[in-house]
Amino acid sequence: MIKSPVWNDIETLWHEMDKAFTGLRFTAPVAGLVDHAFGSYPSTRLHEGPEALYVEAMVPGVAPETLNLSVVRRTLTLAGEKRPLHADTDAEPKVFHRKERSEGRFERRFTLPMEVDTDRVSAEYADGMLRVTLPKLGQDTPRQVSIQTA
Amino acid sequence: MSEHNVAVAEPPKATPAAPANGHPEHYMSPPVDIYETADGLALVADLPGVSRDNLEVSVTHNVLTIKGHGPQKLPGKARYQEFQLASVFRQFKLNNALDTDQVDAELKNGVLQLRIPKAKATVARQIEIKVA
Repeated sequence: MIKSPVWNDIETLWHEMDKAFTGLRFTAPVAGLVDHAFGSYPSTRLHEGPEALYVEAMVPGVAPETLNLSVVRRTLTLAGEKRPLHADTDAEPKVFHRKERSEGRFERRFTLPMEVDTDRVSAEYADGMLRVTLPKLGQDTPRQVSIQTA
Repeated sequence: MSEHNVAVAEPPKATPAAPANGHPEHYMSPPVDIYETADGLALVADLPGVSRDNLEVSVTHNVLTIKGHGPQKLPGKARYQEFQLASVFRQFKLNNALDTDQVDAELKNGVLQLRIPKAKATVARQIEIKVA
């Protein structure tokens, strides 16, 4: 089957958008990669177990109810907003001596190294860390097909 | 209270001694915001993965120390990592204009918020004038 030119265009656009969003490809070779190489927020790590992938992101000060997490096929999207702390309190800053913490809206997309069971993805938030468990799809185990005889 | 008045220096670069298990432990400096409010000084530190039980905040001889142990282990094998499993350590020198006995600390969503009130002696006291 030959792909229509329209489909090629869509594919090109998709790749361009991928680049534009500076999403991180977990599938990219990462050997020797140093911390914060992508300069993207939030910092993340990926672990792989026999049955699931685990993604953990550092999101201190981001209220869990404002986090938005979605999985479509192999794309994991994490969005949210880190609000300045004093916005919610009465302690109005008069003079800043240090301002090292970041704040603002963020969105980050990741391409997972394999297909996951999107229906069973779960996430938990504790102490400013978001941990996402993505069960693998058991598609790599060969399925025996019985051959019917006439 | 001027900026110089509450200058917050960070003299010690020395990291704490290696823990008892003999493995060299990595320490990182957590990012902080420090600002003055009407009542005193507020210090906000991002400490992701540091639970209340793993955090130690102390003031000794006007030196504020924040020390904590970072993120817990994740199941499976590491495939990709953008952050180190480091402990956090940072010290600040507080000046005498602050009342270090009244430090209020709160840890929420991985963010430590300290409020250090001004010392009583530095707060302007209104003196009532009696009319004879």
